[in-house]
Amino acid sequence: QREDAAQMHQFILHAALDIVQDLAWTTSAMYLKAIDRFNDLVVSVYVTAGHTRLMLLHDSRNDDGIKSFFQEVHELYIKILLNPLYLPGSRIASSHFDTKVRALARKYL
Amino acid sequence: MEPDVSVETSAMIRIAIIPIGKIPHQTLRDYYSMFLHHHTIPLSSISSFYTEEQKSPFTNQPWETGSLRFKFVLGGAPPSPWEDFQSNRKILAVIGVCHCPLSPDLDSVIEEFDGVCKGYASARVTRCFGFFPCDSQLEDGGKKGENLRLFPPADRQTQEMHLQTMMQEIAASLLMEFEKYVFQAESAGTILKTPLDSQASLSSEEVYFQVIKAKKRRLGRAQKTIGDYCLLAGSPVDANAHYSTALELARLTADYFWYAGALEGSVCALLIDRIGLKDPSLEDEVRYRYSNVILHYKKSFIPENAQRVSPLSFELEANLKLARYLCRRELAKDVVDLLTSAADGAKSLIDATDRLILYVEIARLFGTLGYQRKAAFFSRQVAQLYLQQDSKLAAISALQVLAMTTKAYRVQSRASISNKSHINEVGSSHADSGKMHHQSVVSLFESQWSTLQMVVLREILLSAVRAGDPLAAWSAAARLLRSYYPLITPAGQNGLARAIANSSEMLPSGIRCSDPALPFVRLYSFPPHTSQMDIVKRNPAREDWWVGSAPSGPFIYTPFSKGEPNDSSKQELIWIVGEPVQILVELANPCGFNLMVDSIYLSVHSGNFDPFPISVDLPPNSSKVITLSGIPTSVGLVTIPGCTVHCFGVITEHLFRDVDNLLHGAAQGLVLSDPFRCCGSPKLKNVSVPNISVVPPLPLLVSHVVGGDGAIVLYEGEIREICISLANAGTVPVEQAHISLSGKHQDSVLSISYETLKSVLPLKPGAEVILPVTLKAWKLGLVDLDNASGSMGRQLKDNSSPSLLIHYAGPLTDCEDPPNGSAVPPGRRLVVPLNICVLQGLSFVKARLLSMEIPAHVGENLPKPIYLENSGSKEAIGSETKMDGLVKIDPFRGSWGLRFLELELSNPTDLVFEISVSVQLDSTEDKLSAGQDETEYGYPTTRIDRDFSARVLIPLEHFKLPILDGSFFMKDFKPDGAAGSRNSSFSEKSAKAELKASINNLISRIKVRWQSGRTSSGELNIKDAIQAALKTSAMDVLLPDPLTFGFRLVRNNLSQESGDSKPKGSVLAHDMTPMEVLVRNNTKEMIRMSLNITCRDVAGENCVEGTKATVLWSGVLNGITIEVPPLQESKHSFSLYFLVPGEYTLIAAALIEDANDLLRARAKTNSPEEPIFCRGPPFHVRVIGTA
Repeated sequence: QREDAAQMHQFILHAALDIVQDLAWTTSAMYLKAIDRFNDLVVSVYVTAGHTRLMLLHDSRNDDGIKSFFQEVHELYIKILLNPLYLPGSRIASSHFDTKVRALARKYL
Repeated sequence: MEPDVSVETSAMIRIAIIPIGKIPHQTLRDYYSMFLHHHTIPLSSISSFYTEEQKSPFTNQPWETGSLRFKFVLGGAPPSPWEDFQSNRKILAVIGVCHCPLSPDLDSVIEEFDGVCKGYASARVTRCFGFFPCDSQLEDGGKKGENLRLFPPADRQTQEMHLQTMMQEIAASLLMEFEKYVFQAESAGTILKTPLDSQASLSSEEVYFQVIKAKKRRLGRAQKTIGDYCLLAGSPVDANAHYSTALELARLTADYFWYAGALEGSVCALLIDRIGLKDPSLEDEVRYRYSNVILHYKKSFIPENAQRVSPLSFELEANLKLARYLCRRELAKDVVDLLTSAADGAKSLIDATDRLILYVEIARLFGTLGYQRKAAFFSRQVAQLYLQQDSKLAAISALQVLAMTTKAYRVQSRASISNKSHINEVGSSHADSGKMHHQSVVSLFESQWSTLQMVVLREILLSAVRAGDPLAAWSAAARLLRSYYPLITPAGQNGLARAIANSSEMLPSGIRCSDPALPFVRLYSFPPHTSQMDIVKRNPAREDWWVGSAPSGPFIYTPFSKGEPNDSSKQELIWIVGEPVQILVELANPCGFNLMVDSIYLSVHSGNFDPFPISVDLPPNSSKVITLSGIPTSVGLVTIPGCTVHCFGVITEHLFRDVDNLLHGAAQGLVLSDPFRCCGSPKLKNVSVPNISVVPPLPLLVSHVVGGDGAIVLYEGEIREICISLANAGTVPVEQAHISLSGKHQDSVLSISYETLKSVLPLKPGAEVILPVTLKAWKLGLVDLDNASGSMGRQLKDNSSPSLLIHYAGPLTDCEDPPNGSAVPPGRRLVVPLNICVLQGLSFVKARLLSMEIPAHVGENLPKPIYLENSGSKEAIGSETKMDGLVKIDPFRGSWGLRFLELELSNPTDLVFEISVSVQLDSTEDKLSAGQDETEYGYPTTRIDRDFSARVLIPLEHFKLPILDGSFFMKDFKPDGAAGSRNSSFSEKSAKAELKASINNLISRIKVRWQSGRTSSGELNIKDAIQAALKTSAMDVLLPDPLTFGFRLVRNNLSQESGDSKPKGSVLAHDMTPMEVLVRNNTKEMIRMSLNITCRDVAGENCVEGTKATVLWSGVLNGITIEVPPLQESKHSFSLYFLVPGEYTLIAAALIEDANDLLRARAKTNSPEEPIFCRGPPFHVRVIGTA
């Protein structure tokens, strides 16, 4: 059951990409706010200048926190991008990145 | 909820089409499809069937532009509880479809049809259509009830025309029925109820003003219904008028539900009125009114009713209708909002079917909008709802719905990818394979939502299994296993393998699937032709046609080949019709189960290649390189995109390109795992597929060494003749052939019988020729010796053996294919490696020069040199003469002075060697052996047992030059005049060269042959050793002394008579013995000398002079002055009287006067004052007698 729910979350995020793809060009802001929802789950999206999409699936409404979270994750992501060994678009394997993002999630969400 | 709703749905007349009697499935489909063309009937076309009985209530009917819309309900449907609310939900007409050939009895058809019509109470028009009646039925049918319409057998076009007419008739009837209904409704006022009302009305009926309100409400609802019929009758203006009234009444009575319904109808009327118009103001109007509709449907929601019945489905339908109306890219945001809120309603829907329909519609609308991922998401929801139903039909539906989502999730089956794009993809990736930009690699693996993909595939697998579609199940499990094996536990992998196996059991054998399962197949290499059948381009202009076709020399790049167009990235490969070829591919099974590949073979689409299947067993987590072979069958190009694999009971095609892309992705870290690397296979460079062309058959020479193809084991220096058999195994005769040598140690091939090969050309197919080749084993170097101490195999590996290169070709003109005459059929090259394994034979330890003098006895005659008459017959020489043969007297020295070249040889092998030494004599140089053109002196053989050493003595004789010629020294020892000019140095050099040449000549005449066993024989190559040994004393060996001395007894007659008892050559004591000393001048100049003769006893004491002289003499012994003319002899006589018997030694010595430079040089002195002393060898005299 739990596994199903986890998979469902991924499906929702994946489906939201369609909306992001249109919405990203309508605004100059990187934070697109909550753009999609399914049942009580909300998808918030942050699109970087390089069109990397940071997507957050949540049920709470904490707009400011989410925005700050996205901004900080973006900075972390830029640091990853600066790594010459990282091929943009490939999986981020850094455990440091992972722990940092988790810490940010605890802080803002 | 209903599927496929739109704003216009309210204006559509529902007609149920119901099959009557037996109809084959396909025929029924055909009939249905005929109806579907007639969904819109223009009002103008029905006027002929229309009769206005009363004045029509549809006063504003647009007869010119309007039309009636039909919505066909195929197979019929149960009546909806909401019929009264929306008249379009009613089935207003029933059409029976009958396939007459299968229903001969028309009466029963009519009966059945009437029965069916009873189920549709709302139907106002009923017709039964009979297709393809026979003549009797046609006749019969005319008398039957009015509802039966028979379509005479005709082609489809005619039938469609008939049908159109029928439909127009139905439309007209319906229109007239609507008019009737409206009259009736306006006058009588029917009770119109919805499931929503039933309870609410009960509680509020008592109150008086409620009764008035209820009357008003009823009026409003009637108006709304009349509006509905107006709309169905294609008169939007009339409809609008009635809707306006209804809206007013509904608003007054707070009948929100009906208000919303009327509003909806008014929007539909608006759209029908302005059909084809799309201006923004209209759009805004529709949007405004519909948001009102949605709002009022929401208002009509009664909480206490919610459990049983709810207007929610109408609200959602309204949402969908608006969304469908707005569904355009520009309005995507609005549509998304509408659909999202519709999706929110799903969880409040009571009926699962409603939810299903809702999700289907949402998915469809997202799909129309171009939001594939959203559409896929809702499709998957639909599939899940289907799967919850747990029936086979639902599972089939789920499978179909999921199949539509595969594109968005990028897990689609290859079968669903259209052929055209497939080909394009092949072409593009073929062009730039290998140098793919990393960006494109990223895009290749973009949106790798592996979790989603796995879930979707698993659901497809599940639904396929439930739906009983084994092929789909197989395909899904194969995709799951192949793409996501790293994410699946070994247990899961086993489960998938079982699922694949189970589904393959249900499949017919030999079925193909477009999605490959395991194993992963990649190209390993294209082995070039073996050296046995190499193909060489032929240059017809040249005699040596093979030259320049292959890179010669060690350089990869040659500037000479620059002009030729060579595409370095594309390797060219030539295959020959009828000759098997091989390709290496690597298979990997990264999963945790044993993989049995029933057969695998190269997949070739060009159709000119016969592949040979093989079967492979791959253990868990293993990779294997296998050889796939096949035979090209016809001339042309061959492309090999991949392999065809028969595994898990299904035949699939595995493309190399897919695996290449996968490996590329893995190299960049974009894919989970490299299946080959995780099986422990090393990283492989990208193998490019060469351009392969097939050429007509060529001759094919096959070689083998007669007597076994193993290594030819030879001892150092061994000479052997081997035979190489060449056979033409092709189907074309060999017309040209040429043999050349290559590789190391080419000089070890002494001779090849070229003529034998030439004489048998053309070599017919199947013919064979045996080619003798003479080999001589080379001498092992130091490195080789080390190897030899190791294993023999190692020695074979290093390419020290020479090879025979045989270039051969078939006929120049190809009769079969004249248009292709410009291209000369290529020739071939056969490399016959001579697998020579040289073993260490006799090893040479050292060479020494030994000199030894055996004193000559003074006899009656001067010792005569013995010549061996025939050297070849060694056995002929008896043991007595053997010694004589060995030790020969130097004619110039008079003594048996011998110089031996001692060769020390050791035999480390385990064989016995016999050594024989022979010396060749050149008659022109040796005057003394005149009469024999060339003599060879043989010596007895020496046997060397294994692990022993032996010394072989080579007597150095017959080498002396007859004359001490100044030519050897003159330049060498010219008194170094101040003019030590270049001239002299030059001549010096030439003199030295001459000397060297004569030494070499000497050495080359010595041959040391060996024999071992019966077959092995050879020659030791020890020239260098001999040269080194002779270096210092070459002069002494070669050059004669300037003077030679000899002694002789001069017998008188008296002594000769009495000398019977005396041993020959001995001297009696106490007897005057006359003697002669001979002096020979070996130079070309007169020599004057003073000769001395001494006699010594055994102790070496001078016994002629001194106080205790034991020998008396007569004549002169000291200071004899003699002049010897050049090349002449002089004699000097004297007599000796021996007092004591015993052994004595006579020595002659001469002091040369006025010695010239030549003599001085020979004596190796420099100072002109120093006397040149020349001493002869000692002569023994045995004196017998009593003291």
